[in-house]
Amino acid sequence: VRYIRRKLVQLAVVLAVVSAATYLLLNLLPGDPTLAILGPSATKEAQEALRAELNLDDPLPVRYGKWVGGAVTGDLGQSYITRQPVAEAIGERLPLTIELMLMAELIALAVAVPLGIIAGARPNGWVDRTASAVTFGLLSIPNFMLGVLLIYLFAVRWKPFNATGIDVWFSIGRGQVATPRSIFLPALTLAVGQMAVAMRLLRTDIIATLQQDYIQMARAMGLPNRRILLRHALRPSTFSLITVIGLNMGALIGGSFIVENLFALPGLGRLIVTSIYKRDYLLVQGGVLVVAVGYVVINFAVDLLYAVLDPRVRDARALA
Amino acid sequence: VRRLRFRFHRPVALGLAAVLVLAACGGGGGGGEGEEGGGATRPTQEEGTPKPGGKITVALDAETDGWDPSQNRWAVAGYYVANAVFDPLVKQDAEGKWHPYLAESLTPNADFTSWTIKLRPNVRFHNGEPLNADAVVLHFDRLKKSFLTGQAFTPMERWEKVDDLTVKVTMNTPWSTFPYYLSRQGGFVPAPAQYNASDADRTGKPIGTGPYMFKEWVRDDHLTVVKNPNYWRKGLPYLDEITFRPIPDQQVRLAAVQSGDVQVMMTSDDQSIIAARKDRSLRLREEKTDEPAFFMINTAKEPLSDVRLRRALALATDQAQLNVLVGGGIRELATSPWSKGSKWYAESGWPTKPDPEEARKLVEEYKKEKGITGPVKITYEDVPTPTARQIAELVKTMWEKVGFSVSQKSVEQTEHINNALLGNYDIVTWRQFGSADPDYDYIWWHSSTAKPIGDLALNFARNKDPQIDAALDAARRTSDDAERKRQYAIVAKRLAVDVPYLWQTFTIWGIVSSPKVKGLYAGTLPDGSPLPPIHAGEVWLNQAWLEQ
Repeated sequence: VRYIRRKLVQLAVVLAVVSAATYLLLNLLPGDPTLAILGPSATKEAQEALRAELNLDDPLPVRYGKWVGGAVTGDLGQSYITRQPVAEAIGERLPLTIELMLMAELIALAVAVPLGIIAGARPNGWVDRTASAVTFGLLSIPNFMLGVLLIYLFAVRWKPFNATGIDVWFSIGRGQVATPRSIFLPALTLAVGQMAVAMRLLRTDIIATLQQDYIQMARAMGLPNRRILLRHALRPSTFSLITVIGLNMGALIGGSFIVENLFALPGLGRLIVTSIYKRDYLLVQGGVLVVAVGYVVINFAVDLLYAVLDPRVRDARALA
Repeated sequence: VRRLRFRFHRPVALGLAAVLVLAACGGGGGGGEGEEGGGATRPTQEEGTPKPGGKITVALDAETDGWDPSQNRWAVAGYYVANAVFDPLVKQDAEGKWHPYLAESLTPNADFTSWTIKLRPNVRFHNGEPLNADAVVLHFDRLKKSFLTGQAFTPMERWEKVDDLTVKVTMNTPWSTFPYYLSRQGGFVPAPAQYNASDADRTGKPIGTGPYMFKEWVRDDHLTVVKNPNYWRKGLPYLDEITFRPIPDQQVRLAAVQSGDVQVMMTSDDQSIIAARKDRSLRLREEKTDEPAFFMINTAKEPLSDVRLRRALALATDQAQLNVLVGGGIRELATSPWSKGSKWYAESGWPTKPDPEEARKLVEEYKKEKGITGPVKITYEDVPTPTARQIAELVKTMWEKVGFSVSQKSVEQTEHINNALLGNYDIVTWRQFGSADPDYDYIWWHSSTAKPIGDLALNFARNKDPQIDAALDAARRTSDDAERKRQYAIVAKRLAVDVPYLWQTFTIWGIVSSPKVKGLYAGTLPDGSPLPPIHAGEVWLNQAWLEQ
């Protein structure tokens, strides 16, 4: 409990820093939101009137203070341009982005874990060499190119998947969740980078684990190889994999910004990107806040997962 | 430059009024249908008889802020949706002439200081409210009150209901082109219920009189409209449903049509057009626009305030080479704001062939006079896109060869526009002047809008030329097109002499569609006059039909 409480305090500090920094950075960006809204023919009077209407004349700390006051109660303000409440706009987009990331992670692990195990069990075997070459090859293709390539292959040449957009599976509130088929290509685009990293990591750890004394012991006892690998070697070897999954959420979030724009998906990343162009500060601010919370919470969950996986961590923390 | 297109287009198109993209209607399709009472019809020869029914998906290049014509900004993509849900009071035909559309007639007084708008009877909004003078008066109230549209309608002083279907608008100055302004955003009349709805519904749930009724909108994903069974143009529309999908990536948008996800798409990307030309399974229709891409020069700022240096830049720039290297060479080279197909086109004397020798001489002459040793330093500004980067590399080389030293910077779109407004630049990449009528470019070229550096000026280049002023004013005073053409020829020639703009190429719009979609390019007005097949990237979907 103490451990969780300490983590929550850390979370609060991180969020305070992130939100203040985004607020400041956005306001340092060149370009005036009133100009973005009114267009180049805006008169000075119209700009001033609009600035007043949007409270842009208040000093920065005052605006930030007001925003934090609202954010604490769940009111993230209203978009300057669409006039939609920010919380509502985010609620509409978030489920799809989460789905995209989960699906990407699932695909990545579904490929990386079996390949990692086989490659680790037989280093330099043909599976190891082929898988390494292919995953590294894919890793070196940037998301935006890979996405276009996948669209050409799987939506234009052969047509099992949609080129863009989603088919709605079900809704959560106003947010939509896409059918697995319609989100598969974007998720795959996002997954490819993760795959290579996860596979290499698992492979290395399995190789190391297999050299441990207790594995030699198990071998000496005549346990079948498969059982040693899956029951005794896999779990201790997933430690760094899990850490990396948590940390890689950052890369996934960044990647989802690109992938959502490429595949024209109505997710959070697309919302933030278009809002930046329109200088819709409050939307960007709210979006970034949600991303930051998500990132911190996921890594917090990863921390807790260590304890589940490794009794030594649990005990050490209980002692501390 | 490519990104600049729609990003810049949007502010401009709206801000100053309908200005840039006036005649927006696209060709519609197919079928003969007429005004109530049976106006003229125009059957489509090659496409057969329109059949009702079916659904299509249309891919657009961008999402739109919202659907309140007084508050939101509609670029090309916005008009696709607006034309489906709303009707404009006025529409332009293929020749660019205005016709009453949702209005039955618009009548000016002798000196154009007042206009009487008579509305079509028995037209209802999708929610059942009648289209009447009250609805139009409310619409004008909102337009005038809006920061966005208010300025465009500055001459409007009073607007009042005369009877249930008549509104009289009084101007504070003669305004003969008022109807054109009603063919764009400011002429699309929403139901009073939409104007009176909550902020989110006002911009998010459009209620118009148009051929399609709004069904749902998931921002950045799709907007769906369904057939309006009570549309005032009897027999229209043919399709049961249209889904609009913004797909920002050019390549992916084309792939979406090739994969069959989407049946119609718009693009202004040369590479996509080249790819679509090769794909025999699709239909492609191209439109050469009158919207030139160019480099804009700040004529009020040293050193390019010296016209010799501007001429040197023009002579150093190899237009044809840029066209080939950047766009695949498919565009027409610009020599003035008007392309060869335009009725306003005239020989301007612009040098399309580079002459680096002559350019170098001009720079040397300048340097000698000013006692400068070393190259003349200028800053080139663009926006951060891959195409802009390519262009920057090329022009830097061309200009440095003749004695300039070019430092290059890329800025985000809003700042790019801001810098132009305030005169905070030497030379920038730009795209503009795509309006249907040259009079809409008055404000960009007249010296009255060329303010000093640091003040907001719509004459971004700050070029002051009494001959241009005189020609623009003279053209505005007359309605004789031959005379206007003479005046605009003077403008074209003077722009080639003053060199505030280094002309490059004209944008090409392409509409790529499935061959099953018919009637995209043969739309008509209720009186039977044809609509332009495509205008500034817009096609008229209201007479489109699907071969089933």
